[in-house]
Amino acid sequence: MTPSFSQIMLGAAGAVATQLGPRLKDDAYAVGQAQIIGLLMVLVAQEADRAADTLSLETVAMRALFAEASESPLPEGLRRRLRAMAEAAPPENFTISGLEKLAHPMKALLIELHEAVEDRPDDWARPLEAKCWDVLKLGADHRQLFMPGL
Amino acid sequence: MLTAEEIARLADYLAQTLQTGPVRVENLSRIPGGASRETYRFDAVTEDIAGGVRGFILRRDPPDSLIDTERALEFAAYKSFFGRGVPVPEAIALVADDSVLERPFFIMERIDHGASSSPFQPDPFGAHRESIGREFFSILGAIAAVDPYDTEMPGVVDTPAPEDCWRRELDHWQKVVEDDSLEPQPIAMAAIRRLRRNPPHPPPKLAVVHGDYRVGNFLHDGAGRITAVLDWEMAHIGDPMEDLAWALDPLWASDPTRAAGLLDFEEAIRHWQQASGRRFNAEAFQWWSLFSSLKGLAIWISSSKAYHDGKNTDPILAFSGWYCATRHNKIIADRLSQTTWGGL
Repeated sequence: MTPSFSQIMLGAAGAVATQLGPRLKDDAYAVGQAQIIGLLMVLVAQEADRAADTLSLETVAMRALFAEASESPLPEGLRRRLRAMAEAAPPENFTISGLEKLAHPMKALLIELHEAVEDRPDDWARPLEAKCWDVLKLGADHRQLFMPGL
Repeated sequence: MLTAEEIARLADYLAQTLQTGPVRVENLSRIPGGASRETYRFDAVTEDIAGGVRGFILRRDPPDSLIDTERALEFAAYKSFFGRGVPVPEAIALVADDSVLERPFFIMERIDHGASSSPFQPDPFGAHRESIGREFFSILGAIAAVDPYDTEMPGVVDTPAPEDCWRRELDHWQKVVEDDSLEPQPIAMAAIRRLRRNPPHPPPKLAVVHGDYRVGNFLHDGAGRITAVLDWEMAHIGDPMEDLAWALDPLWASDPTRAAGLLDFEEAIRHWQQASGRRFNAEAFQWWSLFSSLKGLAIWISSSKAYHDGKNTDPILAFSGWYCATRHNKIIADRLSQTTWGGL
């Protein structure tokens, strides 16, 4: 897409800061709101291009973790659901909402898996807990946003 | 913004409350003041007040906010600390119903010689960073030094047993996470489980906990002095380590190598201990610091929900529900992934 989402949002944020902001200088509330709106545009500029990619990476990582965990000595019911989720159909589409529709039930199952392995001293459980954190950190790291100076 | 009719009712209300004769409300304007209340500044002008003009701040409940709290609580907190070594504006009047301005509100004195600074500014205090830091931790210690039974707080909030402080707070914020999440929250839930498995030692004595004591919630004079501590809407009685941990949460630190971005960590603790007469408890602090990041995440989850549901479309809710949640998710994940299998 040309111009890109990022370019459009950064351009709009610049217009808010340099064209609208100075006209609001006597209204402290309006200035504050304009700052926040401009800031949101800068954040959207960072996220728009990568949001679907982050969700895809997360779902791939969760599928791999669920496949591995389904072979561990967890309760059979949980193992069955892990296996089913690891083999779930691909997303209906690659929009953010389409990817979230697949990712949300996976994250709910990740909570269950994490809880099931985190207190166990067993040799098979420790690596699974570490891998739960790897998945969680992957998402947290990929979603970090750069904050411009206000 | 207040309507002309509301402004007229406000003037009548002030005339009755201040008992000064007719009052004119002038120079009324909305100012930035967080999303938990609508905040306005105005002058009350009357022939009977010495000097004729008093500057006030009015805080009115919005249709929905980040934090569901009673304004009576915040009002009681301001009254509790006014004139007690903690710089707060004088609380003037509280209206807990919708009779005057359609929604509850309270009025407090306006501090004209003070500016606020965002914790997200790269260097919010410049050359005055360290003097602000010394004041910041000394005032927090002064809050912790006050006997909560010698304040108005027990009349508006529950007083927990010392050993229940952590559980009450964790129960409350866990419920917020569970009630307000729009999607599964695996990092928040992991933090909750970790906190429940590792409860802290109780405080030797209870204290009034400000609940949101951080950079961004005070006014300063631009010369290194804090002129007012604001935003007491989450005040309660509990463990003073909770306030210290919240103040030191990494989210608020423009410089992550310094406590609250202001002071060397050990110096910050020294000022707090001197002013509070209490000892820093490193073990309890560890618990409360993880709790602080979880509490922050819970607040951001709530702001996302309020924004998503259209109950409050203030863009600050979109910002905090997104950016701040993203930061706190990473802060918690980085911390807990290093200390697997039970520890804090």
